[in-house]
Amino acid sequence: MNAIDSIMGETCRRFARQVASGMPPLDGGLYRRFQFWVHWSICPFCRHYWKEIRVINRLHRSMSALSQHPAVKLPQIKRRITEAILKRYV
Amino acid sequence: MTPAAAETKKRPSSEEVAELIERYTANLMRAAFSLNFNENEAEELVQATFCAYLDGGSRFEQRSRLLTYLFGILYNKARETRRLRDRNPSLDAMDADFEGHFDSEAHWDEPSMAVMTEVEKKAQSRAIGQMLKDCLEGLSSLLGMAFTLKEVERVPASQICAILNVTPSHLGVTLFRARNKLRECLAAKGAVIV
Repeated sequence: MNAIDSIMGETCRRFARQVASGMPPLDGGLYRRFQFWVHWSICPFCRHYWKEIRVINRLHRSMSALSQHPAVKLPQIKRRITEAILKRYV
Repeated sequence: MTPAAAETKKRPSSEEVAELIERYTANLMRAAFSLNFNENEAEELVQATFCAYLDGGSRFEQRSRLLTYLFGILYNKARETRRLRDRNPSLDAMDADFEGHFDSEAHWDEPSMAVMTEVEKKAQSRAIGQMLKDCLEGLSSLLGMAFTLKEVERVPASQICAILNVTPSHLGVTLFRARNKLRECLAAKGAVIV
């Protein structure tokens, strides 16, 4: 296997697993990272998948903001919890 | 710790309690919501988390951030509450769904990808938020908590492993499953993700 074959040897499945697990590769270091981004640049399907996962991550962050739960009144919740705990512990 | 110190720990001042609640309630409420508790349940869970910390505060050894320690308590309390409901029967099916998108050489099976893209185009993007909420309800406690700690609370992977009591490679698999399950769920609902 020559160097080009090696660099192009990344598979979509491995790329997708890497993207979705969001964890650094356990081995391979810089070369592995290079291989990852080369694959990203040449494979439109993997770029699409990569974007989808990023959107899902971002969407989850914005949807998790407590302002997305309009019924939640944080000051009241804090007050109720404080009262209950002070009654019990102080 | 001396008995006097332990006694002090058992009886926090009202200022300490107020500061604790002021500082950490929002993070814990978000985590409780990610585990699909409704507002009343989430509030009870957060209160139980603070109580458990105050009951056993001397066990906090400050090897991690207090918030990480509180996340751990909350997760265990949530699992106690939901043990019977927290099943994860579809992991094999989920992995099979993922594998089904690739051909024999492990590259995207183009028809499969094309179908997903066409389905995605049918939906309105503004509905994705609600769809994602619905899809999050399908995640188990482990998947939901791991994903929230990683993406919303930005907790480092090593600390997530400690909170959830999993190895780093298991955490990778957990996050992989959470994201793919959400992706498959959104695609099935016809969401335009990109």
